[in-house]
Formats: sequence, C-alpha cells, structure tokens
Amino acid sequence: MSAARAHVGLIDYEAGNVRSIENALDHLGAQVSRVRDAAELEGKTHLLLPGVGAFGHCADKLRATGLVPHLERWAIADERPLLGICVGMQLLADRGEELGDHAGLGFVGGTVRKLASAPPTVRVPHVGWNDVEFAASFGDFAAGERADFYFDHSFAYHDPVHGEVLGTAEHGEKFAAIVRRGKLIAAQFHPEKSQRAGLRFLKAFLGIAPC
Amino acid sequence: MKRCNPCGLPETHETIAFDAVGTCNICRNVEYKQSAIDWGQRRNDLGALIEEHRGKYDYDCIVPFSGGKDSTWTLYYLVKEFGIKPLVVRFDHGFMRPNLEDNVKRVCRELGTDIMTFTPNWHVVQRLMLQSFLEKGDFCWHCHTGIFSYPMWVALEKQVPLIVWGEPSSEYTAYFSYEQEEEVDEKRFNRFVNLGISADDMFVRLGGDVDPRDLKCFSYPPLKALRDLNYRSVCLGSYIPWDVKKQSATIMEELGWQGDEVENVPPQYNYEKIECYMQGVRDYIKYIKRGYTRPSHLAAIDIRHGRITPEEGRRMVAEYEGKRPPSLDLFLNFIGMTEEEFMTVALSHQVSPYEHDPAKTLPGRKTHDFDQWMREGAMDRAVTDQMMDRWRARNRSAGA
Amino acid sequence: MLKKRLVPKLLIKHRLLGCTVRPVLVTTRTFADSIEVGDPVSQAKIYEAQMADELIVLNIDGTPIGGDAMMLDLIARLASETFMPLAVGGGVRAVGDFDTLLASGADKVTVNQAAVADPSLIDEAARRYGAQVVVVSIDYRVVDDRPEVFVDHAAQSTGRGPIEWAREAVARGAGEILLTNADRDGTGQGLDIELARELTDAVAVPVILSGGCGLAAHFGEGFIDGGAEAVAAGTFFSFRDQNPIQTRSHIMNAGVPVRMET
Repeated sequence: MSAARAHVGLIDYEAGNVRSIENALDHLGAQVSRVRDAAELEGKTHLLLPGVGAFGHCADKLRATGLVPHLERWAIADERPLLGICVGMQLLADRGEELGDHAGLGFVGGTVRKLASAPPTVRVPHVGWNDVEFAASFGDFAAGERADFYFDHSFAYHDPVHGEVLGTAEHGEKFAAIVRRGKLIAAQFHPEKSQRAGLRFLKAFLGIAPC
Repeated sequence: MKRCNPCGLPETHETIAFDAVGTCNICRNVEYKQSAIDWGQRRNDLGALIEEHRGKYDYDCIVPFSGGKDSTWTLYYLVKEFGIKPLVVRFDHGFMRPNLEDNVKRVCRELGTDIMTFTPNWHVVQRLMLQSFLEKGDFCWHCHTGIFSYPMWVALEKQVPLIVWGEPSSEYTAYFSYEQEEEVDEKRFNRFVNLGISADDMFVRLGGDVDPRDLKCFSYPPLKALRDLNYRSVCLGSYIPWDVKKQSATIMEELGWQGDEVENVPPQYNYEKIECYMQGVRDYIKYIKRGYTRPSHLAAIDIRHGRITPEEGRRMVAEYEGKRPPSLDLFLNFIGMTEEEFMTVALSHQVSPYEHDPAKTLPGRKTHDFDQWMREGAMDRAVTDQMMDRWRARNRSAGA
Repeated sequence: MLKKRLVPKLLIKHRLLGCTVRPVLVTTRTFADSIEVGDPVSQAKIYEAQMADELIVLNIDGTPIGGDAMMLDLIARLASETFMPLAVGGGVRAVGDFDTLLASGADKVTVNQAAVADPSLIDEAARRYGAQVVVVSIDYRVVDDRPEVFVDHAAQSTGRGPIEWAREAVARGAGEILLTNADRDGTGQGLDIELARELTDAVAVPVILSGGCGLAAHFGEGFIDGGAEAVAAGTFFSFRDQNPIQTRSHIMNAGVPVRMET
C-alpha cells in the first residue's frame, strides 16, 4: 500500500501531542484525521494511538472515550493496522507499574516496569537517541539493522506474550523498543521526532495493507 | 596543522575528519565513488527519470547554469545523451567575466536552448555581501542562496518539476556522502548552502531594515508548493561519476568552451572557477581563515584521481597559494571598506588552529581582463559605517 | 547505546521588525544584552538539517507563557514544520501551562522560577505527565566563590546552592536538570566543568549543561569531564562559520558517541 493512499485515524484522547505526528504523516503523503469517537473510525485505513503522560492517567483517558472495544475489534478481531507510540505502546501491555499497579488494554500483553538507573552511565528517564536492533525486516529496515531513534521514557515494555519483539533497545537492560502482533505495531520511541529513521518507520507502517 | 596524508587538505577544511591511518573522509568518499557504486545502474536510473518527464511540460527540465565547467558539462551531457529540451536558468551574482559571457552564448547557440538570466538589485547585493562577510567571513551569501533558490522559483512559475544540477557536494566536503542520495532540496540548502542563515534570518540580522520582497530571490520556496509540483531536484553527479578534468576537456573540444586565466591559480587549471571576478577575493579570505585555498583544493582533487603526486601538489601549493589578489581593490570599493578593516574582519573568522600572518603575503598577478571588470557601484560609506558599528557592538556583546 | 546530545538553545523575544511584532531569535551575554540573530522557525529548520539532536526553546520576554498567543503559535509552527524533539519554557507558572505547551507541540516543558517559588509544582507535573516531560532549569552565578541559584533572568539570588536545589527537584520528580552558568553565558570561555561534575555525581537523572561554549572542544569537555548527557548552546552557532555538523565531527573525534544519520 502506498503511503499516499492511507487515511490514518489519529486517536485523540487528550493525552498526546498529535501535531508532530500529523506533520510527519502529512509529510509522507498520508491523509490524517483525528478520531474522538467510534463514528470517526469510518473510512480509515490505519489507526495511530499516541500517548504522553503517566500510564494510569492515559489509560483512564482512553477508556473514557469509549473507543477501547472498537480498537480491540479493529486490531485483534479484524487484524487491521494500528500503531501505538510511547505510552500508546505501553497501554497495550497487561499492566503498568507507574504510580501504582494499573491495568493496560492487554492487546499485546506483558508488563511495563521502571527502568533501573545505574548512575553515572545509566540515567532514568531514558532520554535521547539510542539504537534499536530490528529482529525481523520491517518496511525498508532489514533484519539485524540498527538505527537511532529518539526515546523519552522512564518505564519500559517487557514480555509481549501475545506478540513478538520486533525491535530491541538497551539502556542498562534490554527492553522491547518495538512489539508486533500481526498488523498491530507499537514503538517506545517517537518516530515523529526521529528524523529520517522515524519517517522510514512510519512509512513502513503506512505500507501495511489495510485488510 | 594536521593534514590528510594523500590529498594534503588541512584540519581546517570544513567537515574533514581523519581516520586511523591519517586519510581524510573526503578521500574515502571519493574512493567509495570510484569503487563501490554501480554506475551502470545509476545511468539507467537517470534515463528512467528523464523519460518520466520528457515532453510533458513546457521544458523537460531546468538546468541551473553559470557557464562554468560543471554546469556546461551538465547541459552538454543532458542534451547530447538524451536530446532533451532544457530551460537554462542563470542567477547573475554581479561579477560575470567577459570570457564567461561569451562561453554562455557560444554553448547555448551550439546546443540550442532557451536561456533565462536574473540579476538581483545591486544595492541589496552590496548590503548582503557586507553583512555576510561580517557575520560569517564569507561575502558570497547572496550568490550561494540565489543560485540554489532562484531556479526553484522558476520551476514553480513555469511548472517544470525536474531540476538537474551538476556536481554533488560529496565530491568536496562531508556534509553528504556518496552513500546517500543527495537531493538538492531545502535540507541541503539549510545544511550548508546558506551558511546557516536563511532570507528570514537575514531580514532579522539587517534589523528589518530592508524590503522583505528584496530577499525573495534568496529564499527557498515553500515545500508544499514544490511537493504539489512533484518536484525532483537532483545532481547529475549522483548518476555519472564526476571527473572535472575529463569533463572540461570534452566541453572545450566539443563546444569550443574556453578556459581562462584565474587569479592566483596555476595556468594548467584554466577550467576552474572562471565565471566570477571576485573569485580571487573569495580565495584570499579562505586562506586568511583556514590557511589553505584553491591551489590546495585543486591539488587534492588531482591527487585523488591519480593525476599528480602529493609532492607535486605540495610544490604547486607553495608557489601559488595565499597571494593578495588585485580584485581586492574592487571588492573594497563595492562594500565601502578599507583594507585594514577588511583584514580585521577576516582575521576575526580564523578557524583554529590556523593563525594567519599578514606579513607573509605576497602580491598576486592581474588577469588579462582585469581592466574590463565593471568597477562602478561604490558603497555609500555611511551605510558601511552603520553596519560595521552594529557588528562591532554585537561582537563586544558576544564576547567574540 | 544511548548517544550524547547536541542541543541548540533558542531564546525568544517579541520584537517589532519592519511593521509587525513577531517572535525573534536572540542571543544573550551573561543574561543581559540581547542581540537579534534570526527567525526562530527558520533557525529550527536549519538546525534540523544540521543534525541537532533536540531543541530547547525559551521565551525570555518575561511574559507568562500560558497566555502568550504568539509564543504558543510559534511552538505549534515548530511542531508542524520540524521533526525535532522540543523542550519549551520561559514563563511557565502553573501545571496548567504544561498542558497548554504539550498541546501546542512541546515534548518537554522546562520550569525555573515558578518551581523555586513553589516546588510542589514539580511533584504535580511529574505525577500528571511523567518525569520525562519535566525539565527543571537552574540558572546560577558564582558569588564570593559560592555558586548560587538565581531567578528572574538570573537577576535575583535565592541564596540556595544549585546542587542542593537540584537534589530536591529530582526527589520531587524532575526528569532532567538544565544547568546554566549565567556568568559564562555567551562569553565563549568554556563550560563550568567542576560544578557540572558535582551535579552529575549528585543526581541520577540526565543533566543538560549550558553556558559558555566557545570552542567545539568545550562540548567534548562537557560530556567527558562534566558527565553531561546533553550540552546546550545559544550563542555558539550564531556568529561564526560554525554549525552543528562541524561540531559533531569534533565531538566524534574526541570519542563521544553521537547519533548517526540513518
């Protein structure tokens, strides 16, 4: 599928900076519209779930939109393309340990727990450009390829029991930088802030056939 | 100063880095070009690109053109190999030499092309030259930006999406490498062409004291407009291996293109930078800042292509480099400075570890057409005073 | 492996230029004398092309940022026209400002004076948005050989030491510390490596160092000797034939890991 024929629904649940993502998708030639309720899912080929903020806070906001069952049907039952970014990725776990134990959506399964700091070299939050190693090919990324992406987080994803680790990063310990379950992809880094590598990544997502 | 083992370029050359054996990244880049690229495939890609555009628009492509060796070769190659209908677009920096103008006419008559030339407002050019000399130690901002922006505006106006430039920057610096696709776009423009100052920034630096419309031809058009056009702006040197000596010989033979004597450059390089009569001043400022200039640059190219030995290069550099060009007198008049002021400004831009010694500078020779160069259009000294006062105040403030 | 970051610092003032008031990029020296150097959006795009790792954008007009339509519009434009991480601040007064700035396009928010006045601001912002969004910015000067935290564009001493304040800020949830030596700002004499090292030893979060870069070598010193994760520079790139790409080669040659273009 060419990026230029994609119509991305950007889930807008007031917990994400959507402007940069809109910019990036637009740059790639995709159409992008914000989705606030189930009716607005109509006509979309791809969905994108952003997320900035604490896990529990974002989970609550997302549930409040009423979209969760629709997202589950879209991604799991119907196997249509969905991309989760940063906290949008973390929400796909079974649980997150930020500020207490919170239930995630469980789409990809696993746990989100705090990165351990080990100063002076390993500082938390994990902020900046770090390399991700691709376990399999994705778009024009080859299996085994490494590329730098921009990270900004304190909690990391582990054990995607319903899916696989597509990309690994290391900060003190290894963690899942990208997970995949069929056409459901999620990244801990910010592709919309990761310059050329980020655009390649988004392009790869847009290249996933809608159905 | 540390220098590259084979080619001799010093550590003050922009973007240079040396590897474990002392060879520079530009030499390595050129090695890559000579050994690791499938030029056959690239040539096919070029053919496909041209066919994609042939006959669909008023012109098959735009060829930004100065009339120097690189743009002449580019035009020649495209017309001879592909028989395209190009629009030749020239941005006149204000200092074209007589022989160069003859070359342009001769070449375009021989090949049969339409030509457009744009000359920006001299008053604006003078202020831009002075401002960029003060701020960046490089007075050619108007030329760098005009050459790379203006043809893009023409592309939009004429609705001609394909623009074909000449040499890739990876031939001379490491802002890009031969391993990447070097698109001639706004990113490249911002990366090094505009010296880190866009037309919008220049407006601010001039204190808003200029009609913004006067800066339009130096500004890059909006990306959206270019994308709506489906523009492709590429270097010919991404599709065929660049070789200036061979290419210059060919255009001389096939088109009657004529080389010229160039200030402070050995006579055998009569194909190099013949289009601008401020070339000598540009080279001299570079020498004051970085301790090397055009003869070093030319030697390095020849060494990389196996045409001279490093020892021959060193001898040539020692004989020709670092002389005071006669064109400096014209330049000083154009920007309204004394030579002392000129030296103060140039010295303030030295790139460490080079330390320039003005006492060692010898005078250079005049070229044959020196007396034909247009000298009129002196700067109003009051304007220079105002701009230099502002620069001095900033420098004090910036602790520079 | 995590790379070190080169971060241009964009200081913004609102100025009348030609016939309109608009945000203008300025540089400062010891937090005084501002000089206008360009258009913020243009410079952001240029820095992006020159491979800067992220941008810090600070409103130094003294206006509260939450109601500053011109500034918010600028952030929105930066987020729409570049693909760079943006840390935004200057005049952040309350937690609500975090919301406003993040919605406008910022990735991180820097808070300075307001946090000193009411440190619980840090706790609340970190709780709501996560530590990774909260950057506590600390300006200091050296008074009688003692470093002191200054506020109000480094005009007023708080009497507190930067290390002690930084420790408290981190304990309350700050994700990064931006440490700026106001005496060295714009002077080109080099970073304050000694205090930097003291700070990076004292806290377990990333530290962004700023104030005084005048040579490419100063950046390397900040990373290697100072222990910083990022070095921010305002004046360094504005007046010479210097750009981040040239600085990057220097840093790489000094053995510091920087990101590659892929």
